[in-house]
Amino acid sequence: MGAPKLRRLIEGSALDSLLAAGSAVSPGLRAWVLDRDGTVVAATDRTLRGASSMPAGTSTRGIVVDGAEIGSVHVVGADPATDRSIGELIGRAIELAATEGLGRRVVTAAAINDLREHALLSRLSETLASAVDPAGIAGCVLSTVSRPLGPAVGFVLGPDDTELLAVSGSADDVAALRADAASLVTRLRAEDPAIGSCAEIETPRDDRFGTILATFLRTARGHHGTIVLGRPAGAGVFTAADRQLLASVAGQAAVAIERAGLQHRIVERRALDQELAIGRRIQISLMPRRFPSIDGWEIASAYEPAREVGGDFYDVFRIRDQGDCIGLVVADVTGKGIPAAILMADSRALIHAAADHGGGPGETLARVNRILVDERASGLFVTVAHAVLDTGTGRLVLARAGHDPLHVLRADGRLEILQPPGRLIGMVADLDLTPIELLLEPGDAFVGHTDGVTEARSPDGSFYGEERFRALLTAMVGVPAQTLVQAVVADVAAFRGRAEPSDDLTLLVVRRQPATAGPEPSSIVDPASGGSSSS
Amino acid sequence: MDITTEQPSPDVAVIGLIGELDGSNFEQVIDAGRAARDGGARRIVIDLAGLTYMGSSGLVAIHSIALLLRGQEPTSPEDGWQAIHDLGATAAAGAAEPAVVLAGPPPSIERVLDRSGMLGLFPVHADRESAVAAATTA
Repeated sequence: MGAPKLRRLIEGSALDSLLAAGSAVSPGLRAWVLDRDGTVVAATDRTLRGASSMPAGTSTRGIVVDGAEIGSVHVVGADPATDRSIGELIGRAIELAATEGLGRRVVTAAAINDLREHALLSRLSETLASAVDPAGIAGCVLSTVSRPLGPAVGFVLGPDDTELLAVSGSADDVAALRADAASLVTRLRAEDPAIGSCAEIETPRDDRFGTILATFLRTARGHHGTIVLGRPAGAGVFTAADRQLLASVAGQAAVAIERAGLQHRIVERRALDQELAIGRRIQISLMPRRFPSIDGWEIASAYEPAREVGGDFYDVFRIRDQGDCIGLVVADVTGKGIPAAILMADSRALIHAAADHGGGPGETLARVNRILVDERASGLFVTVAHAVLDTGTGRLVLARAGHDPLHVLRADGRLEILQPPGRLIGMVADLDLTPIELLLEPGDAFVGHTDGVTEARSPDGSFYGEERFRALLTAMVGVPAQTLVQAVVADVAAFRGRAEPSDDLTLLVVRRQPATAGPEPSSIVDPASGGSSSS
Repeated sequence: MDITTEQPSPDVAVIGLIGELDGSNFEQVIDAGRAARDGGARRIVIDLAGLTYMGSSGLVAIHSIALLLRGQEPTSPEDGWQAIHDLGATAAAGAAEPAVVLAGPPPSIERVLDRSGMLGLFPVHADRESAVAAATTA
């Protein structure tokens, strides 16, 4: 008698449904079920008559019942892997239906759902592999489910419940669906369903949509969005199988969104780190590598850039045509990264150029301010302390534009605090600046710093502060400039402990040697590792 | 840092700052100023009484709010080096028209304002009430 005929074991309509399900999830798919004698029992494309006319690249899977091959499934579609999957599922479903006998309708329906889900998820995961942002992923999801779950209007909401990541349908329909779905989404949110079990169906009260289906995009890390589909009234309701399908898709999409978000943050972080690193390199390259060596004077500095924040700079330079005069600068730009580094480089060059005009530090800073305010509005400001020191006489003229107070540690231990008036640079045209003048006697030290010193924080959040700084300076009377610098740096480091520095730290000390002091060995140190000194 | 906003009268808003104002949050303060201006405020009192720390970014925020009230957009560092700065407008900041009034700065904050020269640009009052009164009658 031979093996039973396939067409006797399972109805043509069930086979048609199976094939239709396959083509719904893989558009353009063509599939045939052939009896073992080659007769086409079911097909998505009725024009095909026999096995000999299958197109090239068709996947074939035999249908085996009770050990005998009773027919075959042939699938050709988007790509061989998907074709094979779909062919496998159809083949298995037919085998199950054939052996289950009375239960074949149920088996077939379940198989159809499995088929849909499986093929859908395969396609989705392929498409998601190339999606790099939440909106792209949301778009993929909607376009993937629109056929199997259609007809439907849909949208995907972002994690803030307000931003639309993707829509499917006319603007009018989407707006109506948003309104209708509001209570469903709220209800779901309130229930806070566990991951993977969060799709709900609701029948709204108006005439436009027959049923609404909503699910969250959630992972262990959090809520990434909401998918809402609305089927027009009269087009059939969403079923439990549809809900299951959407929940599966949502699970995969949520993971993809989370991954995309993490990747985006990593890329952003890298870009930011790179900008900060470039800004940092610009800044370090602008720091003096060595100081002028001047008889009777010690110059020492510390410069410790923080990891993220930047903006400090300091400088010591000879002033053109002014014999023994040197310019001293300590400054701090608001902001960080490349814009701050540019302002810093610009300010430094402007100060040098203006100082060479010989008008004194007040005039110099006024010039710099005018240029920055008039020509280079950047939203950034800079505080500057600039002094001109006549190393022959010890006369020092100081202009302070919004910068931290300067100090003079006298040889007898008195500490003078210098805070002449002057506004920070770059904000308004008038600095309201008044320079002051003083004399540095032998043994006196002039100290400039940035708030990286006084605003250094300990692990418990307290500030190093001006009191502690002044107390330390006073205790350092009589020591060489380099020793004083090192003492401050060490004390701030001890205070800070394990806490990360939150700002650049800069210190500049210019000391007139006491009459009896001998020459100190001069040294040149890379500023990036702690500063320079010369004497 | 927490930011509170009130509008005691149609054209006066009060922005209260509590906590630490620094590079990580100063833009939120500017946003609050922008929102107040869009809500009709012509003068803004910035209540500093609750601040425990203010860095130089706080000065940028205060200045930016003053620019906003003058109908200008604060320049963002991201915009780069362009645009001629409106010299006349900023030169007059605070002197003729105190659009921004500062209230109740704690000693450490007052020190920051003083040494950066901001005290000369904006009127400062000891507390919120007197600042609001001054802003309302101006």
